[in-house]
Amino acid sequence: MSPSNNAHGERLMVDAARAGDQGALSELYTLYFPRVYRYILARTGNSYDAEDLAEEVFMRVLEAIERFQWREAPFSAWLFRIAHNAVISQRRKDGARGRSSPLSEGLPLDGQGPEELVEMRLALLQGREAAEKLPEAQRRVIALRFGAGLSVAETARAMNKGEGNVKVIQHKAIAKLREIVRQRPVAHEEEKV
Amino acid sequence: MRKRKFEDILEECVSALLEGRRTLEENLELYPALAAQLEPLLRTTEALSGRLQEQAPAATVQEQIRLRFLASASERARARALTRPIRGFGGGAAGFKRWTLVASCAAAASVAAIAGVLAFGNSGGETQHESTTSAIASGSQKEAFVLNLAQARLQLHVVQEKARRGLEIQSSDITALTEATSKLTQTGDASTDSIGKKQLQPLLQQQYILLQHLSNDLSEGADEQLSAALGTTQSLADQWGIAIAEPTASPLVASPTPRSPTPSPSAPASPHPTATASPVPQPTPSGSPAPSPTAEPTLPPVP
Repeated sequence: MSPSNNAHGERLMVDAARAGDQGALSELYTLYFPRVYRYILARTGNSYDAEDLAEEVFMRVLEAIERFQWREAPFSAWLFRIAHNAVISQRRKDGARGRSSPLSEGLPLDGQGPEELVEMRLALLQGREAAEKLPEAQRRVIALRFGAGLSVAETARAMNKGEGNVKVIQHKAIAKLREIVRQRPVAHEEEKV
Repeated sequence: MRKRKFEDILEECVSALLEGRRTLEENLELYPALAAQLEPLLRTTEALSGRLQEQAPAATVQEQIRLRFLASASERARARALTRPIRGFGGGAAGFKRWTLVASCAAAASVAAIAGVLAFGNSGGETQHESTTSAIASGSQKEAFVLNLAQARLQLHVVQEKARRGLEIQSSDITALTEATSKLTQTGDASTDSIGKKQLQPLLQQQYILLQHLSNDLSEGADEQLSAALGTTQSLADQWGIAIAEPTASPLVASPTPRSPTPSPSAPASPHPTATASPVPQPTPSGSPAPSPTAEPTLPPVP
């Protein structure tokens, strides 16, 4: 079920979770954990960080869900703002420790055919470039749209921006990623040449 | 103006691509004048989103995090339950003093619980649940009941989730469920707490239905635990004067194996050759507050 496709069902579930219903909390987890994980993966490019941070996000949700109020913004916008804050907080800690984020070291690369490998490396390269080279706003749009699977409207809510603005940022981000990939062919293609 | 329009078209194509409504080629055919500009962007979108959507944490990792998440939620519920009665004490300085007193007692109970866990950990003795329950034994019966009820709910939820996901249910899961239920028999009864009875009734009903269902699916050797769990459930229901309805003829789930006749609570469960439970439906969230018809236009603060 996509949250945006079943707003009423989601609302009932979130309200029950706010009241402490374990079943509803579990359902929320089922619905959102993979999306939060992919969002963080797109931001950090590291699957281990993504697992740890996704867990941290859900613990923060527990702390804050009683204070969550239905306003104009959907639950997803609130949730991914928590995820964003967790990523930023982790980045600060990593910066203080002088730790650099490795390139998706946890992603599976074995058992891939040549074409799949190229595509995977393209995706990894894009993921890394997104994490390292794109401006913050572009990174967030890429992670929210393609990692978390939010719509433009939901992304706009999560970022406190207008939908038109998000579309502009999305265009710039995709174009920049394309340019980065075009300028830096993947190793497999270089070997073939 | 032209640029703006292109961004709208790009977004339309990206959404159609991501949602599987149109292929890349169909998008380009729809906007032939912009195909040269759209194609590289949509190919990049396709590659990036395709790979990202394939990524997921290992199922075991996801399940472990889920259990920690739910355990943490349960702990929070316990803490809330401990402080809930003080809200009825009234406001003002007197109310605050009483709040402080109860909070101090709760804190003392927590410290005792932690000390108990450490002590038992050193001696390799009882479980955390048992030590926690022991630690609060000096408090009121009602508080102990609330804590035990939360623990029983959590344990039931763990087994329900496993069953729902088709994961293997260990005999230790059933034993833990029985122990959690047993703790409830030691705290309170219907003559002193009608609210507790209302809270206990759905728990016992769900637990009974689940155990009956599992009796068809658990492996041989799990009979003993299952029988004990059913017996404990029934005796707790008797203690509180709660009538448990037998599962209806309508199937709980689409189970691949035909159901055998429903055993009575005291009868041993019939063994089956599989140890993996077929999925059990989640109970729908109860007590959900109705959605507020009025919506205000700002986001709440985020931690």
